[in-house]
Amino acid sequence: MQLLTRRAVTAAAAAALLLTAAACSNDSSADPDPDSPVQIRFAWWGSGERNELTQGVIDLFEEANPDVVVSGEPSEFGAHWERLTVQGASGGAPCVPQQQSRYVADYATRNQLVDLGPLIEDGSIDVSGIPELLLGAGELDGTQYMIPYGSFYYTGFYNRTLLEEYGLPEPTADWDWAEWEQWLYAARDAIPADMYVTDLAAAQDLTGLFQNWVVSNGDAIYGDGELGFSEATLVEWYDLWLRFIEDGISTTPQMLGERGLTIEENPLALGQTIWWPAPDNQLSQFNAASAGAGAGEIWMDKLPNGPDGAGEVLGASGLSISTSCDGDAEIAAAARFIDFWINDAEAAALFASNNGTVTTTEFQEAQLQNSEESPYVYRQIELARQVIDEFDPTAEVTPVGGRLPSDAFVRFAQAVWLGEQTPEAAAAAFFAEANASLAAG
Amino acid sequence: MTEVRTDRTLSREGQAPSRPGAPAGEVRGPKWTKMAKRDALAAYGFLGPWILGLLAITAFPILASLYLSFTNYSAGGTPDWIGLGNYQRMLEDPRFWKSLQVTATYVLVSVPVLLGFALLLAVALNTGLRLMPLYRSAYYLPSLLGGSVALAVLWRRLFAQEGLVNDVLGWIGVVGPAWLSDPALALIPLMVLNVTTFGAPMVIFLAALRQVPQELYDAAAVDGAGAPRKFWSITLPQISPVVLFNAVITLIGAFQAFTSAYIVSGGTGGPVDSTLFYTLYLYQTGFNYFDFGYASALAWVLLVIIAAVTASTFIGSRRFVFYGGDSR
Repeated sequence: MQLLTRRAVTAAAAAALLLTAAACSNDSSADPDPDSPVQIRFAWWGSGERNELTQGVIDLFEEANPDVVVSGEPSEFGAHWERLTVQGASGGAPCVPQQQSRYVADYATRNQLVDLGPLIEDGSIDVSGIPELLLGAGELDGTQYMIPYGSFYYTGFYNRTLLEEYGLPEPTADWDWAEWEQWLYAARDAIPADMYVTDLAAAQDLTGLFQNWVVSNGDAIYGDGELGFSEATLVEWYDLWLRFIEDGISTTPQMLGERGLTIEENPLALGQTIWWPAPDNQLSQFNAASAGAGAGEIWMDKLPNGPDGAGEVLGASGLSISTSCDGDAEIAAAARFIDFWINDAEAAALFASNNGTVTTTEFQEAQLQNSEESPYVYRQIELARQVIDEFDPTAEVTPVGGRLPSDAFVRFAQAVWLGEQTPEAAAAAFFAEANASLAAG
Repeated sequence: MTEVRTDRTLSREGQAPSRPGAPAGEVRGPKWTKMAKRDALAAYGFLGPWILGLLAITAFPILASLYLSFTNYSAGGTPDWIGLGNYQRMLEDPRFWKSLQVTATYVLVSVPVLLGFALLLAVALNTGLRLMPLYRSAYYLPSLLGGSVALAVLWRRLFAQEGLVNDVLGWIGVVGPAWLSDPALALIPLMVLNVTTFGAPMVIFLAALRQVPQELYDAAAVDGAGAPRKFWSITLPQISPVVLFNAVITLIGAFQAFTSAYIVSGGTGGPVDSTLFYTLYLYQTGFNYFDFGYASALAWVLLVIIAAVTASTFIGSRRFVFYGGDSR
């Protein structure tokens, strides 16, 4: 009896060990059943409405492709990238990660994304409906790593209701930086004393308003392995905004530190400011937020032009295939999913440019024709087409090592606003740090 | 390896004078050995999952990060061996020094205040208040929430320019500053947040206070000692081992603080790096900038710092800590 018990104990212990070993082992060695559906993982960023729409597109795809099962992995924007970084390093990234022109180089140069060229060539992914210009937002050194499905660029958002109330003219697509400045001062004089024209955070985005200002004045944000503008340009920018703070155009540095980062907490959406530079695809969200706060209607137009043109730089969100996606069947299924996403009319109508203006020209038309489309989506597509047709934008991918400059830009700008550093010292320190990161890649 | 383990188990088993279930007077023989072997096997079988976990999830990553700290590794391709390059880079990295300075300030200020506060409350609660369990639970609550995202979000609101803290200051005629925007002040709300997690050390202090023999106080009272004298000469020496324990645990926790700064500053350590905790810088380096080699080196330096501070706390404590039976 004693022995039997011992035997049982030993057997149980062995079973525990085996179970653990089995749980830890990778079961990919098992022969796949040829009739069982191929499983792929798809990770995207978003919340609420976007998650529902994305799941809707997945459902449509699975209906049309019963041999593929797509398991969705949504997360919030910041968490999406952190997760991809870790998963990519360990070879466990989802088969189809949502990517963006601001980030794609960081992953592509670390061998985490598949070259999509061969899949385009053999017809697995049909990109003929997407203009060449927009494809550039997913291309790095001639290799297509991402298929852009939604484009964006920076525009000027304004509170239309308040402008009317204070008798101010609406911005136009053909205004220049001098007119913009005059307008800011005129607005300051027209609005109540406890309001500000704009928010100091507008000045801290390396690839936002500053990018338009730099590019329309003939420079670029990024050169070859270094920044594409001069320290003097940056000092000029700092001086401009120090003046705006002093003159009561912009919110104060103290207010900046307490400002929440979500759209719902944006001073424009709360009716505390009247102008704010934002990506065009946020117009619907801003209006939802401002309606919630009873702050009036938000509308948008192009940012000002400079001596060197409009300075519009298009970015895009899109889909990639990760190198962790092993097996021809998985890669083929991933390619079919991407092809469906960019070419299926029903899917495009459902998603309705939720994450950037749909890049497939035909679907832009369809959404403009749809009388039930929201006025904000309509405005987004209408203005994007105007910018592309009339203002000669470029589309580019942020170079590898570009994430540190973006963060450092915020840090040194704050040091200037708070008087911790002179504009000259901050510009020099920013250049040293940013160029080191860009050179290291 | 297995052989050695079995031998050791056997010899230990062999020395055991009697074992439950074994017939009295039984001589050690082959059957014994077999059973002992089976016992050992069962033990390691049950331990197996845990040992595998320890090796795969803890030991391997620790050793891997040590290796990576000597390489240039950016989460793609193979790590390039660069020797002490990452460690040399720290010497010239202003953000490394800044993060050390921020963390040191945080530790040096918030840990003593936290411990003092916890001890003060424990002494107050030890005086036989009514509803003591209620107070104890109420004071412990922030410890459960201290490192949480929700509390950090609440903190952002409390210390806003028009938040509750400045409202209260306003009642006494003080114009509250911009706690979160001013680099000179931004660390203070985070220190206060840390101090609110006094619950766990307080409960431990309270348990220790209850162990102090009453006769010592009685004897002191006979000699005419007042309350302060009793506290300094009896209470503090008697609970000194627990003070040391709480100090070490709180110190290590403070060095590793992360969540509060991450949430309150939106992950930046701002304004202008004034809340750039060491762990936050390490996190940014690895997960935002893909610099995993440098991040690993930063992690090892933090380990060495914590080990050194803990060791010096122990060494320094010899003069102050009274263990029962000491001649002092």
